[in-house]
Amino acid sequence: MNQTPDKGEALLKVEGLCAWYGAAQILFDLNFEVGRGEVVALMGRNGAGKSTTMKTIMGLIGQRDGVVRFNGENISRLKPFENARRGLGFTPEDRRIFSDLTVLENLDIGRQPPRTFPDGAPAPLWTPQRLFALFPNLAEMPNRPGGRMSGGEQQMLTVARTLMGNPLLVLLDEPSEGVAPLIVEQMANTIVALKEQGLSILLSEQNIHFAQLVADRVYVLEKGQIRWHGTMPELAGNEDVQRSYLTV
Amino acid sequence: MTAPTSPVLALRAVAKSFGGVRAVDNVNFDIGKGEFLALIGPNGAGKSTCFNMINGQLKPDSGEILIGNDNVAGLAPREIWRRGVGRTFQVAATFGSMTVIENVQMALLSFAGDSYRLWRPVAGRQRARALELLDQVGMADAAARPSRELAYGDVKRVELAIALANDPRLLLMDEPTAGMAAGERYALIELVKRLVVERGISVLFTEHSMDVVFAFADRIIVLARGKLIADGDATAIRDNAQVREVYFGTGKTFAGTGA
Amino acid sequence: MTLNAFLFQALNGLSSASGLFLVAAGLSLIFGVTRIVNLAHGSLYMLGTYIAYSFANQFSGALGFWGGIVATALIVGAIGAIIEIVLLRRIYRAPELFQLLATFALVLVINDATLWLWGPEDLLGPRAPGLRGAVEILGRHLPSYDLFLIFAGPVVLIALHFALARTRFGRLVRAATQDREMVGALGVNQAVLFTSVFALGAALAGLGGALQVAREPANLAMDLTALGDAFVVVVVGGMGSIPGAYLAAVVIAEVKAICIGIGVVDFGFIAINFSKFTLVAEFLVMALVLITRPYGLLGKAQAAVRSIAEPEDPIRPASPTLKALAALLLILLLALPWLAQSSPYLLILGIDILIAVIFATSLHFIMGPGGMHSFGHAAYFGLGAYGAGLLVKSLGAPMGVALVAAPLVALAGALLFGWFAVRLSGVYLAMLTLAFAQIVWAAVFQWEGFTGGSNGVIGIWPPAPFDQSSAYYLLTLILAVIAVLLLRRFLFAPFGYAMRAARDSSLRAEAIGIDVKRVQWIGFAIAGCVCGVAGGLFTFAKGSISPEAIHINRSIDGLVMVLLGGIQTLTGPIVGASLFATLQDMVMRQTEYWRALLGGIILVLVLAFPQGIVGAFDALWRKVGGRS
Repeated sequence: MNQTPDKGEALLKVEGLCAWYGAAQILFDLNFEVGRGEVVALMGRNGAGKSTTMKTIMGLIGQRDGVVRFNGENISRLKPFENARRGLGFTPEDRRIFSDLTVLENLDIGRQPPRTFPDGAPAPLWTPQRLFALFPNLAEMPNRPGGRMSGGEQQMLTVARTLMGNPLLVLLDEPSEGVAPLIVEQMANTIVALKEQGLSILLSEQNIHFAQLVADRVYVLEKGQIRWHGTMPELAGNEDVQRSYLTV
Repeated sequence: MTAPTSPVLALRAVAKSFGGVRAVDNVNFDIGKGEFLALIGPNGAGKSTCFNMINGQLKPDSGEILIGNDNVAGLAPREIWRRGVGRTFQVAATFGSMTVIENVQMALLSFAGDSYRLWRPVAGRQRARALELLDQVGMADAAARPSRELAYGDVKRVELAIALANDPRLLLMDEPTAGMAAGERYALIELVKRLVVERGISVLFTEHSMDVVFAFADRIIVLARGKLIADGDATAIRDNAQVREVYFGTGKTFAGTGA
Repeated sequence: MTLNAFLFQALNGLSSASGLFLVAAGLSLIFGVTRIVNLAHGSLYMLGTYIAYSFANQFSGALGFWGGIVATALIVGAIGAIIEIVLLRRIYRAPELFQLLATFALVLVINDATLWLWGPEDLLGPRAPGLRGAVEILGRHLPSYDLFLIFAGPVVLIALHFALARTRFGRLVRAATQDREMVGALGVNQAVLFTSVFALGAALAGLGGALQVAREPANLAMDLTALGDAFVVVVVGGMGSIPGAYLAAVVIAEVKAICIGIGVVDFGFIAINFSKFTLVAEFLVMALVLITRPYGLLGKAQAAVRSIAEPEDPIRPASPTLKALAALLLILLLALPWLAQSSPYLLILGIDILIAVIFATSLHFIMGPGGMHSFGHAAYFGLGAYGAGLLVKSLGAPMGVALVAAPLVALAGALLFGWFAVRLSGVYLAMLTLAFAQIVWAAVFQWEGFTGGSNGVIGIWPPAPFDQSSAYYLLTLILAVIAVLLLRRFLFAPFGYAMRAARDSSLRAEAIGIDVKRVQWIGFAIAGCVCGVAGGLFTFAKGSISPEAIHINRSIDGLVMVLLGGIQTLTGPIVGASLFATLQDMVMRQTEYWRALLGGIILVLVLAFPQGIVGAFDALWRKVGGRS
């Protein structure tokens, strides 16, 4: 806990999180937190439990245990839509664009009212126009159906769609997975830009080069358990951890 | 059969459009015997379309796909498999309701044309050959385990054994190392390399991990917006200005120091 | 037929198309968002007709009729909302089959409720105030009401289309149709969305039924007829496509109307009455569409629904204990005629159970290892039963020949229907198989001259020595044992593995050279053939066969048996069939409202074990051992 920024209670605090698929336990007693304005990376290889962690926080996994606090409120038993309405954004790894809907229609589905932090500070407010400025590629195709977009464009749209809910914190699942190096680079720049606007991000990632560009702190997962945590520079200097748990 | 000089796989002016958009546009390339060829490019460049036309999931609008001397364009996946093309998938999986060895037995039985046999149980068929294949990928000890219990890296190995069951001359691998940790990643590719060199199999693979591509490909071809924009060895591709512009970027998101 | 007569008939077709469209559109809409095929949709349509009848009779005049129609749509919509909130909401995460079963239980309950409220007689409503007359078109009289219906369909189509394309509600519906979980994760309350969609779909069905009140009498068979029609329309038009549903409704209604219009045509050497061929025509349209466009006229290939069921364990040969138990059971069953001398009814029940075992085991063969959820297995039972019965009745064939012919007739039917069915999967396959079974049932029902219509074929008793129930029991036992062992053998052979490979992943099966459709087709044919044995045995056991015995209820009975025993085990269908046949025997002798009782039992099972019975045991085990 010594790495936590001293801003009072963290924005997102996870205590003793467990999750099951059927009879198989996937997550074991996870404890971590994300402070306001922080970018935190969950790292580990495929099947380590990164995506499951995100889905469990979001309320998408039915069989779970443990406490998730968001803004001080216990949200462990809430449904996904209730979490979303409290300012928790979710960007899934497989993007899940509505392929029959156009870019603008996709954005409309994610639309939510403006939001403020508990201290009254406003959360970043997003409109399609502001998002098009952030993602110029999307501005070129407002009426294109999601199904006709390339993987990189869909990746941008899924992030933009989540931002339409004016979230306080975004769960960003594997933004660099399966996209070309050029797009990965753009995505890194976007995350840095979002952080500057005051957004907090919990990111799952396998690529340490990518994480190095954006993350403040890192939790390393292996077989559903946290095996290591520390700051990004600490991880960069720790070749043992990198070799054992990460894709280099 | 095939003349020694003719390529194992050749694409000739292959094109495919979806709703007016040219996904693959007049693509030509060859793979020689025993060659390890990487197909890379940005998302939406047409790699999957290209792959799926070669394996039979999609029918090209025009052009020829030659395996040996046969044009296989538009044939069903199973017919292309019968012509000696094995394949592995981006997300590896097995037949989840079977044991590890039964997975391999099924592929061998299919290759032997025995899929419709109704009487003699599978348990007594093709076991020795299946064990041999499992042994070659280092999975013989897990033969009797339900395949759905395997770790992801092991599933990849079993999938490889299945892909080798029809004695292929060409192996299509869609992102073979996706989702694996560094150690496993190189071990798997080394295993593939060893097995295919022994058998003289050619490999066509797509991959987003540039480290793997540069370390293992004999040759690299690059697709962008449906067109082939570069074809050459690692050095040539890395120094290609167009490829840098559309695909690599500055290179700070991968190590890229290999080869 | 003159050109004018032809055009007039086409107008008639258009007015029928509107009713078909309303039911099918609601079904399609509900399925799109909730992923539940609402088998009770035809029941909501039937309720619409009955409720509108009561309104029109209670409050006479234009207000009673037209106001009644609007009120009916609202009431049925409200019933839909209640069904969604009370029942469906609890089972969205349950396996697809359980959802289908739950909605079928509703069919049974609603049917008996209607019987209880309105009685068994057909009820014809008054003619529509203001539209009692007829309009002269093309030199003929077209009832004004029919003209009104012609326009009612397109008006609803346009309204729905606008709502889906231009409103936020429509965008949410379309988004949820593709990925409802993601819609929830973006902050949309799915519960409200689902309830409103279900209510809208139900209201459309209610409206469709209500509008029929002035055209045809309300009767208790409307639910399944409307359901079968709606399935055909949805399969032809493309699941999820509202314009597709209208287009398909028009095509099918037109083809039927024109068949009726053509009437008897004398080809010189033979006279054919086309009006008897409406069902065949419907089937041919569907077949043609499925061959050329497997996902319907305006439908799209659907992404595979995320499966929740876990893969089964690898199959193992029977353990020595199981083998010993089976042998012991067999000896006991062989000795039953001597043990049961004092209570001969036990043998009759035994025969029923054994026939159910053959029926359920053959269904399990394609449902479990084959992964094809057939909702129309009764078709092959019926083909076997009628095949045997008609051979005896028309040709005087001996029982031996009839019992050999029964599976062959069923095989022929399964080869024909299966060829189409394997082109689809999941709920599409379920709907198509149900539609086929409905066609077999209706053909038997309509083709009175050959099949005896609703009376069926009677007086088919087995010859000596099989007229003794003990001898017939032993014959049934031997055939059941052979059927069960044969199917089991197939599953352990390469074919059974190929079928499971195709189910586990058809893409990967194709990639190792397995012809998935062909394997599934053969599997389907084998199951149909074995099921025919059950049908043949049934005819001689009862001495008769009637449409009642091959009704859709029998298909559903089979599903319940398989699910009761557990779909993932090979012995499951045997246990399930025995249990179910015994239970049914007890229930049916208790009450006239046995349908509602059966429906209630199914609902309790589904609500108590929403993850399936096997899943429930898994969860229990985890609670006891896993978490502590």
